[in-house]
Amino acid sequence: MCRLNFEMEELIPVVAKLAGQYTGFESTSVTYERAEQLMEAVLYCIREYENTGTETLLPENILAEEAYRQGFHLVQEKAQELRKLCNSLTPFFRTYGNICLKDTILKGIPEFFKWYDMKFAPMDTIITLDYPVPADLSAYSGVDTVYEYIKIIYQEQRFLQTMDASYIRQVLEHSLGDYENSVENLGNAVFLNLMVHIMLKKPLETAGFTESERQQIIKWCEPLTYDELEIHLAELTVKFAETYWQRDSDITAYLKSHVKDVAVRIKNGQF
Amino acid sequence: MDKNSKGTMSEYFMEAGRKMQISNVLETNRYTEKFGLTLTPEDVELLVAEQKQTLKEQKRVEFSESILPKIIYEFCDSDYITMDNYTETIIRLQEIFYHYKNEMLDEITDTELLHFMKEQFETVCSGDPEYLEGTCLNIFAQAIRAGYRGYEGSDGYAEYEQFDEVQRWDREVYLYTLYELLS
Repeated sequence: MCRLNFEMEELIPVVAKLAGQYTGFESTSVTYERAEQLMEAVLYCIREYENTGTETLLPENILAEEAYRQGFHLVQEKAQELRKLCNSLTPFFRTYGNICLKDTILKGIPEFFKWYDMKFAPMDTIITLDYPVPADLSAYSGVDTVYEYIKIIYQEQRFLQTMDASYIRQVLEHSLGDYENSVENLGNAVFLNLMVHIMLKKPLETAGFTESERQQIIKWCEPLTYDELEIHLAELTVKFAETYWQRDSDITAYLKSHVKDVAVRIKNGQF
Repeated sequence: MDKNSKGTMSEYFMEAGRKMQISNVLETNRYTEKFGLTLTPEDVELLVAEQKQTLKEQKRVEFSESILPKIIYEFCDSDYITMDNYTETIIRLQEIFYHYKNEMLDEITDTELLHFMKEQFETVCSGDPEYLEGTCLNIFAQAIRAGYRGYEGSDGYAEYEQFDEVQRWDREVYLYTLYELLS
């Protein structure tokens, strides 16, 4: 919801100025489509400004031009933060042979930096983030989408690399079959495996479960509703994160994002 | 952005500069009167109204100064524009201008397009806006859509010859034809 309620009369001069910059001041007119795009660019930056420090009060009498200018500055900062995050991810990033993950991160993200137009189309995400993550990013656009996405990938990589790469591949092969060509989220498969191991109090030495172990879990879950199982798994997750990541809130939040889906799979015996 | 907002935005763009636009167009009389051309306030109202309609038809918005004064300054010294046809010709040129900004995918600047239009209007088209629209500009637009950018160095001047499909008069052709007729 837009807290800063600018009227069209306030926004038009900002858009007009941006249009002039877009045409290099060599055209006095643009198409409707271009004007619409530039208006979206202005609104995107104003929303960025609005969304900073949602706890704090925004100045009531701020001009649209100033809100846009500050918002644009925030977009620039966000792009820089994204680049830093990607740079810190790259040295330890692993694909585990999964083509979708590799293409999305190693090919797609550089393309984003190459083509992202933060001035005239900051709202365009440009790339399709084909590798799925356990979060709904539909509320975001532009650099915000990619930033939130990479934050999740970063935590996923932290999680996966607490285990041996060969073990991860075993788990993936057991869960997904042809995991190299799969478009499923790898973290989800590994987290599901982890949760069932914890519920069985079984050491994480082998991937997969015996039929007897499967029946044991299914029987245990039978009297629980999906919500009750979800709560139980969330508690297990928090305890696990406390033990291995000293209450790291980022990785805890990442692991908890898998809980709902994993609860359904466990209750349905899909493991 | 929904359809209503789009329409509202274009209306705001138009109305925002309207008064200044009328004043700027009237201001052109100071220059154009030496060519025997002047616009009455009613003429200007008509030009501005036609411009609004054309922009709507061509789905374009003007976001700063208007192109009208520039069209007037570019064409006011034309051999083919008199007081009899001044207003209607400017209206027509304005329509052609916006149409071809779209046809040329905004690859060409206002100045380059106006220079091209004026040069062809005065020479190849002999003051006929229909010929300008249907032939020269059509062919030039096709070249630009195919990737031609030579006009950037020439500012829109002397561009048409290389695309002209019609055998035109030059000194040699003229003398040859004259000789043929007389012999």
